[in-house]
Amino acid sequence: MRKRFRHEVIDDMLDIFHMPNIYQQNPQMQNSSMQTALFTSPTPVYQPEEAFIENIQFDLPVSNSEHLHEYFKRLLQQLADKLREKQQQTQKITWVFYDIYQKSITIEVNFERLHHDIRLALELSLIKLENQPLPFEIDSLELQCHKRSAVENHNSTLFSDSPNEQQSTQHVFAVSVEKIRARLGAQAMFVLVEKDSHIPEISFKENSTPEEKKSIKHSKENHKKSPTGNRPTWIFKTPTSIGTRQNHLYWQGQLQLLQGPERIEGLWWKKPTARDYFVAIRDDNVRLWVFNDLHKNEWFIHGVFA
Amino acid sequence: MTFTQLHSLSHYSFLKSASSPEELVAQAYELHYQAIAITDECSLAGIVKAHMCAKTLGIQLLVGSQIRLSNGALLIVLAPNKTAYSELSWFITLARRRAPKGEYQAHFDDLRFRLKHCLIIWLVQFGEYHITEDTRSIPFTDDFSGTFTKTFAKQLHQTFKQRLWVGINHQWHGHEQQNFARWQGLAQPYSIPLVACNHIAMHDKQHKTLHDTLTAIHHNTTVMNLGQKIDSNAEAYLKSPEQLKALYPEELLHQTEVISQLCHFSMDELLYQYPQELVPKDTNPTAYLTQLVQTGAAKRWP
Repeated sequence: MRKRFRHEVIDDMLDIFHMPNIYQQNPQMQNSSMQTALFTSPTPVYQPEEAFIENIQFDLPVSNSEHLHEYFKRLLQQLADKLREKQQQTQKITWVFYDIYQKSITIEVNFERLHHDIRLALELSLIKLENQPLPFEIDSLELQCHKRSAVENHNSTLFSDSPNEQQSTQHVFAVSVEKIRARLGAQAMFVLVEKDSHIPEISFKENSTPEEKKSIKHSKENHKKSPTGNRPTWIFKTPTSIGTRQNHLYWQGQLQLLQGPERIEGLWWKKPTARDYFVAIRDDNVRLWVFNDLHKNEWFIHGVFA
Repeated sequence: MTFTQLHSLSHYSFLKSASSPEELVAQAYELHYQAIAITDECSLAGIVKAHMCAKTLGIQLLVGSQIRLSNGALLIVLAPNKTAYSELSWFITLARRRAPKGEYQAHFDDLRFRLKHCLIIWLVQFGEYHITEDTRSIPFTDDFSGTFTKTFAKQLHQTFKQRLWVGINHQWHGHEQQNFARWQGLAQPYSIPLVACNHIAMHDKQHKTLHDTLTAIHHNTTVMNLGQKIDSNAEAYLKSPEQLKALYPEELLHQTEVISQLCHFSMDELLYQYPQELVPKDTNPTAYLTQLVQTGAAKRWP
């Protein structure tokens, strides 16, 4: 009975947990050692990255892109099932269209954030397809998704009827941005990313492509920042010189200084900068961010408040 | 106009200032300040050198220290007399002993129970504070209405009453004009006077490059990579009375004079103190000791 237990139960458990059969290697091993082995993590082995690649072969070549919609939906549904099964999400999918000679064209669909929502993927894919006419008749269609990552678990109310308003607004905004990007192309849009500098024109940079999720995460380093005054919604990449008329600053209208100065100095190791920034109001009530360059004693406009 | 500089860090606040105590005192003398306080961070290390210099030049020196409490509040503690100096020294020792070398840990309760004679200047910063519960410190961002700041103002007022001021540091960072009404709103309900409290980390503007280099060393990086950790301007230097007059209202400058008049403590009071000894009548300790030694020597070497 005991021997049968060892052979059947323990062997089965070792198989389940993918563990080496230590009992066979050392029949004299005591039960305690065996139990220890059962609850010890197995040595990790190389697991190749699991890519999602599915295709559909058409009975007859397809020349009208509208006919592809249903196939798009079908393949994306398969991808969604896979993502749900593995509790994963993705930031990029690739469509590959083949003709009968195995010549191919590719359409990549990037999301700004990680997604598992196939409705958005479908909408963006159709927009991309609209913008790119098919150069040949399609014999087969393939959907690839190579890079996936685990779903981030957010806490939310279990029985809430109404979705979080802020999250909902953020989602609508993100979807709108992605649709515009899909329609106009990745190069037509850019994201302003904050850079660590107190010199206004180098305190941000333009990113044309959506960043990978891992690089979007903000640093949690808690460093002390110098206190600053208000910053305008739109900061010019290059400050524009402004003139004077009748002893008043003038830029598309007469300016009057409202608030300031905020003194910003720096870059002494490269190009010494010393400026006094002011909030100014133009005669049409537009608030502007202007500065006096203390080295040149000239006035510039650097931004516009919303 | 007479002015007393109340918040000056010397290079004894390690890597946080680009001037020595002597340079600060000498510059204050040059600018005809009435007095200058050396307030290194949780330290009195720079006081002796500052005192020597102040004594030579004939300018009043205020003894104090800058303390950041575990709840995030920043305070200047000044010692107006010898008792207050003892309290402050003991407070610094306590805060330093609690933490590893180079750090300190000071709590509001320490101030409340130990600093019975010191003057307190609260440098209000609207922003991030920490709520301390037992030994845990929970990050807490004060809202715009400043609920936590108001509560803390009440606590400080109840504890220090007439020994409390709200320090205003105007260094053209751009937020001072907006915050001035908030500072007033905070101080008025408890009649806490506002005082001009210019933060100083160098005696002369030319030392900004040295100050930035020290900041880079402090953060273990290069000056180019300091980003917003670098001071956004070079205004943390000792300014002329004319410049100060343009920055602060008259009443705030007058309060610096009020504080300096309350401070009478001088390092000269810390003379070596020999305990009183009991000796026979009509003799002094030295003569009595000589007599004892001669008696003992005769016994040992007859």
